[in-house]
Amino acid sequence: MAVVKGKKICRFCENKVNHVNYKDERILRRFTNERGKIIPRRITGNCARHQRMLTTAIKRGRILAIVAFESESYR
Amino acid sequence: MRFYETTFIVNPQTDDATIDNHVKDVASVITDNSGKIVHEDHMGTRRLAYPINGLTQGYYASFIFEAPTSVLPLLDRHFMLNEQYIRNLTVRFDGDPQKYLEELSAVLIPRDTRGGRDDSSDRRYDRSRGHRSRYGSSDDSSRTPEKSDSAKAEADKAEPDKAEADKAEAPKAEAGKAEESSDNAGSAEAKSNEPEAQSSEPEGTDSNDKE
Repeated sequence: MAVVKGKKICRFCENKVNHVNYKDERILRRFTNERGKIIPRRITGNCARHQRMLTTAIKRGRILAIVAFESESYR
Repeated sequence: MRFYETTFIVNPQTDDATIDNHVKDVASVITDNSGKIVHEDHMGTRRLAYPINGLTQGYYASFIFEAPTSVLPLLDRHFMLNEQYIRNLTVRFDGDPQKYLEELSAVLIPRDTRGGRDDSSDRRYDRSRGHRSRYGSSDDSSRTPEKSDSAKAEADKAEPDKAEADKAEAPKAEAGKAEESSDNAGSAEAKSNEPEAQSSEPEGTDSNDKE
């Protein structure tokens, strides 16, 4: 397994995002694992501010059945 | 007056006109109570991430509106009274909606196009689950070197000649590639590579590769 070296950059900061859209399935999926868990920011490299926004968005998306609360099967 | 955003799901198992009416009803609840709709978004029928009341699909619609707080209980009541609304969520909208709408067009670049670091982090979480071979091509390619190393070792055992070992490695990589694309291109390609692979390799590794 390759060890990732170098500093990870927050991809929301790169794109100057001020709102994380809770209806955008693609983004929510990207930052959750197969189980539907939110991936910690030490792995994704998100900054604290955007991780906070993302977490809220994912939780809202779960309420609206855009992403699953949990799933047994892989996506 | 504040900005709010309400998103709701309507039961799609009726005709389009009824769905439309349900969406318009929500809009009228807002506008009848001195609210003002800034943006509406009809996302249409899409799959639910989990079944709700036995439904697997839902009609999604969303409004961004400016209204006094008194509208919110009315809106909530409207959603509660009609069973056709299967989910609803109203949240305060922070910031300027106009800016947000401009921003919507700028979407994140998918990680796949930039070396797939995100995928590697996914894999860490899936390791316990064990269907690793099903997780896409990046996984396969990263594992190929390991396999070919073992193939080399076995080939060395059988025939100490180094040139032979190198030969064994090349068709192997080809076969691996063919497998990755076989989902799209069909199994014909993979089959064409098989005879070569078998001729130069021990059988054990070949069957390993097929998995």
